[in-house]
Amino acid sequence: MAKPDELIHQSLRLKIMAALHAARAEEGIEFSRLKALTGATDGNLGSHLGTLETAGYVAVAKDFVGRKPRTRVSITRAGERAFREHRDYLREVIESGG
Amino acid sequence: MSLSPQQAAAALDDIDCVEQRTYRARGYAIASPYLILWGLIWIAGYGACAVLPPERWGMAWLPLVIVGALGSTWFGMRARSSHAGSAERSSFGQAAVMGLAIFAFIAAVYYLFQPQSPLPYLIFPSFVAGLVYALAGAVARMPRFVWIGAGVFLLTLGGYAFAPQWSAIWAAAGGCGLVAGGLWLRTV
Repeated sequence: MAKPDELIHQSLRLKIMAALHAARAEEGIEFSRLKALTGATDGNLGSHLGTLETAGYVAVAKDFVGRKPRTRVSITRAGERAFREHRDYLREVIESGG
Repeated sequence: MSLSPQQAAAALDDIDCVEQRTYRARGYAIASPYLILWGLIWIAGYGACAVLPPERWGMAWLPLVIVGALGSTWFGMRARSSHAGSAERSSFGQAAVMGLAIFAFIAAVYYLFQPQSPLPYLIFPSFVAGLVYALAGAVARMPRFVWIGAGVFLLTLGGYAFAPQWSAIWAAAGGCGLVAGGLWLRTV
């Protein structure tokens, strides 16, 4: 039986992890695009990314494109494993009927 | 932590929804530069058709098509280098096959119906392009492609119906539709 991950299960953090997991072949997702994909606000997204980063599930990289600052977020190996395990847990809950 | 099946199903729905949105956004980002490039080529090509006699249209289009093919190849190489997966490789190959199939289809239709007026040569490719974008959007569940295809189709058809003598201009306007569509895709 897969284990649940309370940190990931929070609604917005689950969406963040789903978006980053779907884009894991890319070099991360820009902050503004992640905001659009998850429907989050700036402050909310930043706060939850901080939680996920502390847990080692996401990596945040900041650089400049010309003079414009850019923040890119990507999922780590540990994040991928944790997300997949939590998703498996959700599927098992449905299959077992609770 | 204990969840009911309903809560688990709702969480999986959220995951599925965000994943689909992410894949769609990625597809739009990859397609955007192609639409802008080919839209500009359409504008230049059909703009040339508006001012040149029909016997010189081929000479006007040849360098533009070469620029388009080279540009598309470069976009494909750039996508491969920035996205490590094999999906872009296969989508680039699919795009090349689709391009050849569409070209063969248009050429076969001209051969079959032998249009006497130059107008069908100007208008028909826009109809086919509109159809292809709309079908691709429907199949890939990318609704913006459907709108872009419908826009190009209706703009060209409407223009032809009201002022057929300006067919080259309407076809060029279809190119503007592609450019606008390409820019629109970048906003996702």
